[in-house]
Amino acid sequence: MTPARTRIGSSARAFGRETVYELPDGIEIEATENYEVIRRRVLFEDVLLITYHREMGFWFVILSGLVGAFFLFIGVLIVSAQRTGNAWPYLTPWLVMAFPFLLAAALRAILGVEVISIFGRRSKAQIRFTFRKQRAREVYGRILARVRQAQKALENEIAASAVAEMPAVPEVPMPPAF
Amino acid sequence: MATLAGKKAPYEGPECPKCDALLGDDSRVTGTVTCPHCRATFEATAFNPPQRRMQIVEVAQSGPEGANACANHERNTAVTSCQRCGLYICSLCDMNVGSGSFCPSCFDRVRTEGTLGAATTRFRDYGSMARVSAVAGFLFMFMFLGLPFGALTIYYANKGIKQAKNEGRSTLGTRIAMGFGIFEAIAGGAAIAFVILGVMGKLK
Repeated sequence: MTPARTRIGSSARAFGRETVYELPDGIEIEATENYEVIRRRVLFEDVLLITYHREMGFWFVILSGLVGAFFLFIGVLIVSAQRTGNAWPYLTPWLVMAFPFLLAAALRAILGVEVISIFGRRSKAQIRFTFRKQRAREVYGRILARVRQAQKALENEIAASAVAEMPAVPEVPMPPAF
Repeated sequence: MATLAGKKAPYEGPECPKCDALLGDDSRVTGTVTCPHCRATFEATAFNPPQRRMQIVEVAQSGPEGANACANHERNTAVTSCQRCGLYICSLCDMNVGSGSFCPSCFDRVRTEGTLGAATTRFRDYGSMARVSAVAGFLFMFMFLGLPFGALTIYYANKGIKQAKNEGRSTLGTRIAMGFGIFEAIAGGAAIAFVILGVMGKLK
């Protein structure tokens, strides 16, 4: 049984999907590859660096644009072959097919993707937000706060155990006063 | 780390989030950082986490009475015993992921068996398998494959529901797949029975 976790984001890749969860003591990433789930964690205590940046996703824009352009091209080709009559009944289905791909490419190119990367000592996690920019900032802030809190608690714990380990100072009698 | 011939190198530490090149100590700072490799800029917050210190008590320090030595490190005092094999183990050998203490060899074994939930890092997603099997069964029902695919879907969905419950995930998608599986099995069975009865000439 895994501890209580909250889903904070997911991202689709070319050959799989990654879902990121928040645990009481860290971040858990579940990457799905075919029918296998690979789970890894980044503990808040181990975090070395957290970064935030925006990227466009070059290949996504190019591929979506190409697929949209391909459908558009076929539509135009059919219309140009149609010499007489109204061209719209022939063009509309191809426009409908091209529209989602062109829209996705345009939205991605304009909005970009907010990426939060969390680097631990032994593993890393990435959370991507396409539309919810405000939520990306909130999650970034919350993770920063939780990492600070966890590392402060660990520091205190280490300091407390160091104090407990220190041997008691032996009582040395003071020299007699003259 | 940058990829070489398409193969991802193992994680070695903080990387540039854009080009995956390993960041040096001078780039692991708080503020706006420019990657020395790809010149991309990103916002970063650096941490210097304290190292958790392991407390190891030697047998000589604990005194002769009541001090059991670790089975793997004879100079170290045992702090607990493995809950699977009962060996005395020191804090170096204590593998505890929140479900009890195990010695390293037993930990490896229970992790491989998949009986230690918290230590499982790779497992089959039966929910996805059930959904794919349900779709395949639906597509190939006309080829009288509804019955085998339906049975397979029910089997995977059953395992998927148990897995999702154990993980605390939603079982809705897998339950829908289970419903499809039952339908495919019944429809597939009925289609086969219909054909057999037709061949035997018992249908009028």
